[in-house]
Amino acid sequence: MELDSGLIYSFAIISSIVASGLIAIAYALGQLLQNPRFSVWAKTELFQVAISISLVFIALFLVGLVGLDPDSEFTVSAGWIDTLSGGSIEDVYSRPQIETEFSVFETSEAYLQNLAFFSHRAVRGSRTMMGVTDEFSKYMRTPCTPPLFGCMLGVNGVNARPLSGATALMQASNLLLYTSSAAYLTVLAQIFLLRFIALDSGGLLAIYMPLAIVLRSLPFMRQFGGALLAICITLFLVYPSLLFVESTFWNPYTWIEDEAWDSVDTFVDDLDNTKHAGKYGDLFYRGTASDGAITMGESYSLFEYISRLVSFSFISASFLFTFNILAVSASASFFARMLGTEVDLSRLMQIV
Amino acid sequence: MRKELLIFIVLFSLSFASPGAAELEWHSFAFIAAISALGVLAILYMISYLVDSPEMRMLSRQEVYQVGITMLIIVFFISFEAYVYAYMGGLLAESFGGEDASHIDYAMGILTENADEQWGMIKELTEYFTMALGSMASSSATCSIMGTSLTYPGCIGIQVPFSSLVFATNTLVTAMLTSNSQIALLNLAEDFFFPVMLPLGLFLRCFQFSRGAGGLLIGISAAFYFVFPISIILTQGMLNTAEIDAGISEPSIPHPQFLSEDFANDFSGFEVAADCNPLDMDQNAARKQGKRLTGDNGDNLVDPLLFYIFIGGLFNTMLNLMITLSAARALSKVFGAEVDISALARIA
Repeated sequence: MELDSGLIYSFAIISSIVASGLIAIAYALGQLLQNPRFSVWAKTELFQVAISISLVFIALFLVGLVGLDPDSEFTVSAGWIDTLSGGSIEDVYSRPQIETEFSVFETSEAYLQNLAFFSHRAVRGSRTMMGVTDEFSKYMRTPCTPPLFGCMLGVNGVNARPLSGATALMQASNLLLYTSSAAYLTVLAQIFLLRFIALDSGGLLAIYMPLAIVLRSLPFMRQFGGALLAICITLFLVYPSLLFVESTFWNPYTWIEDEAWDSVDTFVDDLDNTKHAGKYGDLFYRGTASDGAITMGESYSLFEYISRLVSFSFISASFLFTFNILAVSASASFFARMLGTEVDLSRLMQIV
Repeated sequence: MRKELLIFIVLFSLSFASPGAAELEWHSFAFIAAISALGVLAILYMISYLVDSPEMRMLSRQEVYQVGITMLIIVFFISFEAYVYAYMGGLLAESFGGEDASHIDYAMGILTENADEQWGMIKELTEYFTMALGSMASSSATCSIMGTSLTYPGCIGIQVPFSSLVFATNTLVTAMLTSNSQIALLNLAEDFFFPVMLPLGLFLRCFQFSRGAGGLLIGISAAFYFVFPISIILTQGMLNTAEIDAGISEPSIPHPQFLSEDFANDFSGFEVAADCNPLDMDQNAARKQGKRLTGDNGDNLVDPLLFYIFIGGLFNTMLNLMITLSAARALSKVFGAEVDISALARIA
């Protein structure tokens, strides 16, 4: 995720020269025609060109802060998180690990990858739970009466699917799977949004930023250029910065006990290695008590663990994403107002 | 204005008397944010002399007034939080019972208890009723003579109450998910919104161009930290009162007999101690069984389940979130935001 700042400076210089040329022509025309309106307009526009150039420097300095400009001498790194939170970020996240020298952008993506890992475990747990309950709920017992030679004559007696009541759990697992999948996909969408903003080749920044600067400098395209610049600044600065701050203070792993976290993993791995449907039933079904209760196996308690994982992944993915987009939308609107135009990014929330 | 200022100053001094206040870290963040904003404005003011811009000077002066307002907001939040920590716990314990705890801890306790109860209900319903009923509904009698088979699903009528139980289980799981999600939201409010987003919002509120974003953060942080837990406590209190007034008790779950004790271990035997026997060939047998299983205990099973799942689990959650989001919207507007936060309502 690097940016060719030289390219942007070149664009800025070219667009400033073009704009200044246009202004000079207008000024000369004003002098020639003895029309003061031309002269006043040219002076105002020259001031705007100066503002545009300052904006380029400010924007590139800020973009350098979040780690998108390799030539930047001053970059905010994940090490700052240690100062803010009083802990070590390297100890907090391990999937993948966030290293102290990571930039804001790299930290944001690594944080989202950690969230994705968390949500993925919720997906795996719910999917396995759904598969298990579905499979053993269909396990059928067929009579062979009378014994030994009975089956040669045909099947007589009572057929039953003794665990078919697990259909209820299967459908409930479907709900968990749906919710966790939505959370997981939302995290992935955020990762791709982040990558789209700043690809290796520069991403949005390399394309829209120079365009915005050029348009902002041109007299009749100022509003459009300002709006584009506001969107660029918000997406490059506010969105990753929010994720950066979130990674410091919000970690869903801390709210799930190790027992729940590890048990779900062991359950999924065990089931991956089990090929026999009857074995699936054994994980859940231990027999019938004299009072009529079906004695459930140890794995039944995993249902509760998985539901907790699903809830936390949903809030971490969907709720926080909505919150981030709201903040991005509000910031874009105010940046745009500062640049003398209007921007409404609230439609971005449709992603959720 | 002077009177209000005096009241705030008095409240501010009292806030440090609270034992809980010493543990809070957001105070320093908030004051650093406001002082930084003041510093930025001072620099702008000096620049205005450098470039001889009276507009910039006037703007800086106006914004200093906003920093003053922000300082008052900080004082207000410190005082309010201190009062909540100092008195709310005792008030809650007195009104609703339980231990003297902070409003967040009290709400967390309620939700954890609800989630545990809902899980217990799911377990009991599954272990005693759903599994047995599902198995019973699946049983059928088969007779084969000379290659011709006749299958009579004599207990299929039980599928009707069983389908309702599948729906009940689904809804119970949804209720448990919402309880756990509310716990996650409370954690988020306590660990992220209030200590981080509030100071950030206060800082942003000091400047004209970011006042809206700041107001939004302040509104959401305050709503989720104060209004959300208090709403949880109040709705739970209403639920408890309604429970007593309506005479609703814990659901009484029937225990139908279907499988023998060693049914799972002995797959060769077909000794089924069933409440429904498909060999009866009684066309009304299943209907009678279904009615007997749910009809006799209907009042003690269906009513409490509806009450606890729909009202306690789902309706209360919706109410809590709606109240919180309405408060967030109103507070954001008070603090200067013009952002539509209705998208957050989707989580409900």
